[in-house]
Amino acid sequence: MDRRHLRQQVTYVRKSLFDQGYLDDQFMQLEDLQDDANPNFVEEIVASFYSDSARLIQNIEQALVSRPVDFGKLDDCMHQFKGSSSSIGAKKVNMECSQFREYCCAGNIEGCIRTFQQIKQEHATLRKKLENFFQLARQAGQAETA
Amino acid sequence: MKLIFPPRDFQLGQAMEPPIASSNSSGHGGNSSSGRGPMHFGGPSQNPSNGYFSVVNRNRPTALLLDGDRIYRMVQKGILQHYGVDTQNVDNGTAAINVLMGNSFNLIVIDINLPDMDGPEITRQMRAMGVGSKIVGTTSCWCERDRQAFLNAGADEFFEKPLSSETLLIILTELDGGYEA
Repeated sequence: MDRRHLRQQVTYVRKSLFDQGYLDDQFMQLEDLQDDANPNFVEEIVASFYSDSARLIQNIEQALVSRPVDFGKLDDCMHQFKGSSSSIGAKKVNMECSQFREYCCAGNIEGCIRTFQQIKQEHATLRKKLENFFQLARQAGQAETA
Repeated sequence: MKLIFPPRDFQLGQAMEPPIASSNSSGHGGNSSSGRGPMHFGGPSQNPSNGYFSVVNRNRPTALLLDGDRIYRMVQKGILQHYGVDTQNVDNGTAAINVLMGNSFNLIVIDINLPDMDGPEITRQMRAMGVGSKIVGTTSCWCERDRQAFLNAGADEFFEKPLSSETLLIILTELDGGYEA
């Protein structure tokens, strides 16, 4: 794939992540922090997010199966997870987290369990899309310097 | 009051156009002031030649960021430093109190949920110590009860995370001065 085509592909994929609602403006704030001193800042932050969020997901799963259900603990776990996902601009994940917290506040465990499946799905989908985007961006970067 | 903001690469110290006021009563993720008042060292000064106000940052502002989430701390610190704010991170209230024993900050940002105590409680302790910094409470999910708890404890503002660039500019612009107790 030639340089120009790669650049166009990167631009298209990036735009689609915003247009399809996977990412919001916060992701652009991360991109603004990327410079020559921190050329992979965004990818590193996203990688850290997925590394940390695996533990948070596990904590939430454990809290969901514990009986009696500790909605306070569930809420605390989700508060952290939502804060983390919002800081990278994970828009769809965030929206599902808000829905989860509503069910949690209402003491609706079935709603929490159902929504949590959605959260995990959106979390995994975004991961694949971002991995694809970063790979394309790396290829485009390599083509530029070749 | 809604301000019209300069471009994303704005750095404190550059001239900016005078704000254009409009009403903004939204509480969701919006500005919730306790009425402690803006910080004034001298406030914005007007350049008589072009009518522009300039926000003069005489010293590099400092911030202490308290949040239990590593990712949020990394991102928010990066953003604050991008805006020229020397930022220190801590992940719990006890560590924050220890840091404040020997340091002062222009801005303290505190999450509602910390591992060892809640945000309003740490705010209360800071004010009791005599900390006069601007304190901003944050949450990942807006709740009026949390807002009231923070403001009653002595915080100046309360926002939903993440702090947008517009919100940060408001907070940092208000820092350009001294705190009036």
